[in-house]
Amino acid sequence: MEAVELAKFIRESSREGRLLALADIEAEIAARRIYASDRATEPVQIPALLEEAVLSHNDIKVVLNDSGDAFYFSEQFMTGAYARVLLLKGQGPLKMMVEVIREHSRLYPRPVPLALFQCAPFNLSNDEIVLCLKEMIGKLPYRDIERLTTSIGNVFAYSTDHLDPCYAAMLAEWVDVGLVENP
Amino acid sequence: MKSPIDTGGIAGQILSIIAPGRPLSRRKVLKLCGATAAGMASWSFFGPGAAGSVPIIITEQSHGLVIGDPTRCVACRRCELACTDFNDGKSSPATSRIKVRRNINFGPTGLYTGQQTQGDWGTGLIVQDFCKQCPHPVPCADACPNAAIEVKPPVNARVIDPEKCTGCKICLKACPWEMISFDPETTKATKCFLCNGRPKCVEACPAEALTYVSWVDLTGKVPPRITPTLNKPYACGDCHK
Amino acid sequence: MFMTARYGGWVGRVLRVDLSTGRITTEDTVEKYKDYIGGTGIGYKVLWDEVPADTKVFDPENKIIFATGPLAGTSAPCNGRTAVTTLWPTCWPRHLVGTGHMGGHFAAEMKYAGFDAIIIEGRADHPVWLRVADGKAVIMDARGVWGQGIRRTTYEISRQMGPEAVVAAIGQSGENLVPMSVIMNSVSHSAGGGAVMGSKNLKAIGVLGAGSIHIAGDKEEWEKAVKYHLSLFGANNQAVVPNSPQPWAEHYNPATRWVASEGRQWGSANPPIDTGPCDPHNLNRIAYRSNSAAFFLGEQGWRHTVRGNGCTGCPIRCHTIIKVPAVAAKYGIPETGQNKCSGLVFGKSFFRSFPDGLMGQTSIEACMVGMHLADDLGVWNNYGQLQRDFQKCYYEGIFESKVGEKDFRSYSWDKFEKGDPAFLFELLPRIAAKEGDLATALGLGTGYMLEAWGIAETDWKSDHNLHYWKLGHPKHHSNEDAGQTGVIINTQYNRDAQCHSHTNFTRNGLPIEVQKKLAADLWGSPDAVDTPGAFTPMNVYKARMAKWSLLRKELHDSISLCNWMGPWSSSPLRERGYRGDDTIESLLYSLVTGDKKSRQELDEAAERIFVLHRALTIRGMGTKQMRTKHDTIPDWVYGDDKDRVPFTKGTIQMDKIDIQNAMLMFYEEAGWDKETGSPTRETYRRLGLADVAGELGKKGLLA
Repeated sequence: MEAVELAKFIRESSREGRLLALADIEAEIAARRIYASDRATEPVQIPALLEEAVLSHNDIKVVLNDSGDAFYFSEQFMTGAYARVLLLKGQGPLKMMVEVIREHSRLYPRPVPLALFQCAPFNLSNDEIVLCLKEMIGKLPYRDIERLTTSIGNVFAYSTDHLDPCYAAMLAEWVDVGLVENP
Repeated sequence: MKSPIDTGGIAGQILSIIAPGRPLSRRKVLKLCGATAAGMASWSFFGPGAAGSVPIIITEQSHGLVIGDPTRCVACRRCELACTDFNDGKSSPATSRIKVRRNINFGPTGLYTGQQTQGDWGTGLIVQDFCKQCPHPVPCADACPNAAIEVKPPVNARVIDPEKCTGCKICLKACPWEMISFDPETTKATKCFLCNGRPKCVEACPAEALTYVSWVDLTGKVPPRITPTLNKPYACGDCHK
Repeated sequence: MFMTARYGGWVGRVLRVDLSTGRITTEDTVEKYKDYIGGTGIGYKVLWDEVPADTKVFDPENKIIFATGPLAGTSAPCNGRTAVTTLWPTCWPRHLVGTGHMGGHFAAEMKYAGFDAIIIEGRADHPVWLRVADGKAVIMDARGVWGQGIRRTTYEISRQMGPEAVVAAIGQSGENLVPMSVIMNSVSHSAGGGAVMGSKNLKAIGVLGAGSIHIAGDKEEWEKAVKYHLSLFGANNQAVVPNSPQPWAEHYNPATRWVASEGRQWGSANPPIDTGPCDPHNLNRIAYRSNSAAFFLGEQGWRHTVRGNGCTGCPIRCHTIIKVPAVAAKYGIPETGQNKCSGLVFGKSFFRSFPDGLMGQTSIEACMVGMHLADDLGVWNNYGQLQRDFQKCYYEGIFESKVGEKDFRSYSWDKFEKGDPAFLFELLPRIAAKEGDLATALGLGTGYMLEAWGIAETDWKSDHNLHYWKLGHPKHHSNEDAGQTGVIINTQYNRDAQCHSHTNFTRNGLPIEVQKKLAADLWGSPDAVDTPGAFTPMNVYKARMAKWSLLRKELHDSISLCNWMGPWSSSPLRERGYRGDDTIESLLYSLVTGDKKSRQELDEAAERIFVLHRALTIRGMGTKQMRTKHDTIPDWVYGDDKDRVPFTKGTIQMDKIDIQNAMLMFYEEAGWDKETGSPTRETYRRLGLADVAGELGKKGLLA
């Protein structure tokens, strides 16, 4: 496989919402080698190929997770923000939820409706969300994470590092109830 | 493009072969004419086809077709508006070459047949009416007394030549799907010409409810809207029993 | 030859129908109304010139004007609304000028029929409907359809005119002169003012035409402009950020109306259709971005969605057709219904609870029953005020104390308390029929209901939950959305404000820092906007944003663009820094009409229209003291249920002194006298309204 073909594959995957790990790229190259009659790519050549793809194509980016593993995407079809979400997903539901809650509380700022984590690409089940929430609230590494319930019974979470309880409650009520009552 | 042929001898030969029960294949006729398919999209004997005269036989199929998915149509009418705004410089759904407005309220037949209908007042389904780019026999081309409807590159759509059209409106009633409009401002008939291969209606649809596909013959598949008034030359009956 | 031949867009004629005499005439749109563009501009001009201040709402001397602008019926995105202008039946204590805005296909078809506007005057001596087709109007006998609902009326008129006809009709409610009545076309699109049509014995207007609208500009330029406009589109209400993470998006915000995502389907399409990521560069998927049913009914709304629907030429499709098979057997009503926002939840909003919760199956059934009844009887909800008043009056014992016992006991209150949608079959038809004290009072509208029952308006003005503002109508996007800017906007009209210019920005979903950057370009400083719940004291930039919002609303309502989508002050495009284009109106107007007007010039025309509305209000009220007598703010705006202090995080309450300051700053921006809040003679003159100033001056109504 040539670097330009690799870039194309990364772009197609990004368009489909897929962040590619090294293993994914190796698997794809191996699959193509079975059918390709042209120059085969040896495993030892792949890192060099990736480096060439990143250097010679502006849109091909690499991000690292906490363990230092590299993931590849095309900025033409996927934003760095979305890639980060997928990266978080790979680090387990608890870490993912905590990071999202903290980021939203800081950046926007706003509390996060827990139902969000059932949506793509998070795709957590209700049970998983409940379990993670139990793990977070009151535990030392996550002592800034608090939960609240709106007047119609939906649960939101926020970080007290960025939002005070009063403000968080008002924002959650606005999103959950106020927007529908003020159509 | 049509090229007039000195058909004296050939016509006689062909007409002598034609007999009931012995249909003549297009290939045979072309062979007889010694013509190549590339060289002639359509041809006629003894000048333009008309009632009482001889037919236009269009042999080149259209390359493409616009088809609609009624489950996706959201009744916004942007297709009709794109067709006329961007081709004619005026907003004129009545002369649009793709037609939805007549089906939006009650579906194609609902208003005069009952109330459990399609359309906005019924199930919500919107049927988009599109030109079939008919293969031979092309009813509108056949019906035109001035041979104003012809095959045009680049995509071989069946197109009205405004230079030849006299605005007689005969073609309007010849199309079983009522896809031809008369434009009172130009006093000409107008029909879908596939925007030379990049249909503006398809480009304009916000719901991906229209697609431009390789041509297939849908004339036997889509129910007609009207019983067409045929203006067929009597000689058609010789081939078409 | 009409003057309009010089311009595109306008089709050139305004139809005038005198129902008293049967006389039908036409006027040249451009010759008479060009400075007022169309829509509300024409409406206000007719009322100013022709309807004296002491006219009562149901007098034959009142007029009702259905008007569009030059963009209506063209490929300009979001051009489908008809402005309906008249003396407003629910405006209390006197009937002042008001406008409603009816979507659907009426606006486009009226133009194809050959008219930019229809002015209805007088009163017919028997029920009639107006047939407008291919440049000609005929007054038809409506005795056969009088007493029928809007649906049957539409079918019967359509059978006479043809399936492409668009019918704007009133139901039994408008016929009975119930002030809380609507006019509806295209199934689900309504405007208030139904009772005015009823008072004129006008049952419906049917429009049909094979005409066309000339685009003055080069057709390739026009195509480019339209595509450029579409490239800036977000979802419903111009949300430019999706509500869940999407590969193409840098931001997401669970609060927005951009609800498309992989796995979310139009579940009742056959077979279901996935909405998917909807990259904003893909202009062929704009219709999938929004879903009113999902936004207002919760995730289960997806299951019932057949497809989006809406106005001519709009790619957004903010109405949703929903299918709920259970209602056919349970209530004997059709299994499909369609609407959006407060129309969608019309039935549900009456109830405090349902057996299976507020977002369960019963709540959706209540929505279906509500739409079925209200959109056929033609009952108006006054932006949800009807339902809020109903709950307060029931649960606080007001009904029981004010209404006769027999009338009160004739309702199945156990059904109501249990959350049984069947209750609506008792309530809504009785409102439409003025049957009994309770139903009659509700149909009057809040102001006249309070007066009839001897309840002080201040009771309503102090209750935050009622949303009540003044003159018988509720707030519509005030401080909860946009702080002082929202408050200013809500003081300016004689019904709920119906202005979305500001919220189409504040609710776009972008992070506050990005909003502030855009605000600096639009209104001069990042300080023009705050986040809800973190408001800061008033400043001149907020006053500019308020003025811009009001002017753009009138511009949209006159030119024919939808103020529920525009202005396009931001966009979903990262490559533009999420910037929209504040000159879109100028681009489209100039190309369509051939009348080149810059953004500033169009805003000046909009200001003329807005100030004429102000003058109409001053004349109608008989006072120039607008600041104290008209631009009032209810007490609940200054209250907080947790006694928090204004301008701290977590409260939306405003400060009285700050708001007084806000109004003064707004008057200054507007060029109005600060003491009275009335436009000055100089402002009238600048806007070409010197004759208006003259008339007001003679009456002592000039600042």
